[in-house]
Amino acid sequence: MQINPRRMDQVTIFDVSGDIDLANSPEMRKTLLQEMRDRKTPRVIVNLTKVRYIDSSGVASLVEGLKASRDLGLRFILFGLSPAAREVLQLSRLLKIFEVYEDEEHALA
Amino acid sequence: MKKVLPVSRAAANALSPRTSSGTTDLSLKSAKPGERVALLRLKFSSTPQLLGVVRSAVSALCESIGFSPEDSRAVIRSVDEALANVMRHAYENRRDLPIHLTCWSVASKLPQGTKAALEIVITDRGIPMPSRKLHTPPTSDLNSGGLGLEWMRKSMDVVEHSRRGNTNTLRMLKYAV
Repeated sequence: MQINPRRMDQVTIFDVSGDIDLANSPEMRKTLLQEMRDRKTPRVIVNLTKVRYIDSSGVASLVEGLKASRDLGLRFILFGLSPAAREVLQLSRLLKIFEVYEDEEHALA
Repeated sequence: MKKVLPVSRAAANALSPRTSSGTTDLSLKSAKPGERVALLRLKFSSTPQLLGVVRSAVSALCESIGFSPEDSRAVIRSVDEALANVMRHAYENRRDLPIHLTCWSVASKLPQGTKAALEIVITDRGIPMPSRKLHTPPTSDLNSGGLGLEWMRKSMDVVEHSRRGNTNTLRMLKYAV
């Protein structure tokens, strides 16, 4: 898995690629939480377009990101869910909890 | 990790007759009642970096036996979550301990008739899973604990945990449509 930030005015987009599983979800968790707690970026967006697979530890990391954003008064947004990612969020009844968009344009609007 | 061996000729023939072109049909629907054929055996260490390798092998197997993309994803995530649970809980994050995974083609006799299924058996020699975790209720909205077990139960037709001596065994079944 790779996670790379693109920082703009008031927004950071994290481009994530590969599989998010037990081996690397801690890295994603740490990166997202550091961005919010240290930089207090008003809007943190996670681009999941190139994520083929996400496991429960990856979903838990996204949930922690969402919780942190709510605690800090920030926005936490996902876009580009694959069928596999959408399926597991639906299985967990978490899809409606997140702010989710189809693409970057709508996530930035 | 032990080398993945191709399906043996005997196992392939047991599943179904060869097609007219001479290739072997791995479709589950060819399984005979009471028949159980090992399709894939893996032995690997409890290293999280190997989860992707196992997912790839199981994904290729699901495609070979004719599962739909949706059913394949259900099997892959169930296997992956089960293995992650072994690594995190049974083996307490130690990376050098053995996990065995076997995928079987089975034909189960059910009240409504015989159904073909993919049976997946995972064994480990770790600590037993606490019974309270086996009976974890569905998670609340922002409670991410127990997600993996919930996904397995929703994705597979049968999920059974057992322990004999020092060995934990997880058996899962996915029926072919």
